[in-house]
Amino acid sequence: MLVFSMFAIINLMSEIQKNLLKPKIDLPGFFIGVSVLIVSLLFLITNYSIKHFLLLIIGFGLGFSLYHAAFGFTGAWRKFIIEKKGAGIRSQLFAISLAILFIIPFLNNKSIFGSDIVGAFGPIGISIVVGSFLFGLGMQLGGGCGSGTLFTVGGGNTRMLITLIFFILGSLIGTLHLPWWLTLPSFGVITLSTYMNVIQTIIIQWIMLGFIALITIYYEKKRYNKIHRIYDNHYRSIINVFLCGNWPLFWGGIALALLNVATLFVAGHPWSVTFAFGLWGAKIATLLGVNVSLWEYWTWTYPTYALNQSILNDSVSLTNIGLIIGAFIAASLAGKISGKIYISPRSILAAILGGILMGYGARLAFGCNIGAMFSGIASGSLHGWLWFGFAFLGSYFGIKLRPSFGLN
Amino acid sequence: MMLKDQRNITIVFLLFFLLFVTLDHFYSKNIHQLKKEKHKTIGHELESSPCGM
Repeated sequence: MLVFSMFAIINLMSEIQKNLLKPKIDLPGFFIGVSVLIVSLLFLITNYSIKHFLLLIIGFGLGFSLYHAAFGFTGAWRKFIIEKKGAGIRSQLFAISLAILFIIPFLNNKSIFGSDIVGAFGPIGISIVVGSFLFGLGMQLGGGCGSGTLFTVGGGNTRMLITLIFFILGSLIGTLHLPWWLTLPSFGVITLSTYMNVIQTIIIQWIMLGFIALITIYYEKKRYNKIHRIYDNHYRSIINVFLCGNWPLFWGGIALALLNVATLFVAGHPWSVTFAFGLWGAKIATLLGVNVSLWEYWTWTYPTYALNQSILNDSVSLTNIGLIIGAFIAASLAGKISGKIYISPRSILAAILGGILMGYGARLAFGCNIGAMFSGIASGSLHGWLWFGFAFLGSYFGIKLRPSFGLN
Repeated sequence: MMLKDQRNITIVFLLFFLLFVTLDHFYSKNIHQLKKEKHKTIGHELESSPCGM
């Protein structure tokens, strides 16, 4: 039945390709990607629950959207810092604004449909400052942030696979050192909702995001005398663009905001990426004979639970796995997944260094651009803003270092 | 030769990764069952989150 369905899908895709779609679909890649997705979903629904099944689908949607909209934080920040083009940053601000609108009112209720929910909160302290700075530096050397690394790995970028491996290693080391970093001065968790009501929290954050958007518009207009829009018309049909890519950034922003809200509904917390990297590293270290359960971090409530359970019981891991599969299928549909490898030794060194810095930084900063910045700000936590500022500063220095590694 | 193509490397990575996840699924299940027999309960608090603090 499954094989029959797959042949039917391939036939359908061949017909669509002949008649509608301009880009050349990589059919073997598409077939493998869809097979992996279907088998994974069947495995989850039979061995786990509908919640696990839905989280993999949400992850798939995230990967598909990130790849097709080329929605990267790293490249967008670099484009603004070097070229003063701010459309990428404005699309991120738009996604955060939209997520705020949905997430803050639900967090205020503390439950959805009777299930408890929790926001992405972190302390305002030295740990966040150092961690986000290191993350920003690392993302420019590694070539992608948390979500960026995953969707480019799924999209067939072999160099990013090196970044991911060392991202995992850096996260594991971060879990070893985080308890010490948390002994350094901190103001604790500060959330806007403690001081104001829901409407005020939404409006004040919209004003702050709007102010940053205006800064990007100012510099872009100054350089080019016009601004690049986050929504552009395409000559191809909507279905063609939806399936084969080159989405307007606007579409990407809407998709990521809604899927972040969907994650909150299903998992009980907003979208997060890097917790899973530390967990995967800890699982691999355990296989190699390292007893990480003795490390203080892995004695904390959720880390202990996650370490003792299957990876598939961790909501962050599930969305990450779905994200990689979604990006793989998107890249196959766009016909961009194949390509010969050429990676220079200096570029490999940058990927290794960038991966370790991002992994270590993400643990210290309680997440990456997604878990700390996107979901942190959308939860009304001030650590998200602090993360944004210091990661941007780290990115600035990371961009300065890129030519030393032969990167543009 | 086959591994000079980025797509093939991605497929090999995906398959190895899913194999790792599947092995972890069965290994964790066995460990879980052993613990259940000993303690009759898992005993972890589930209210904490992987997101933020």
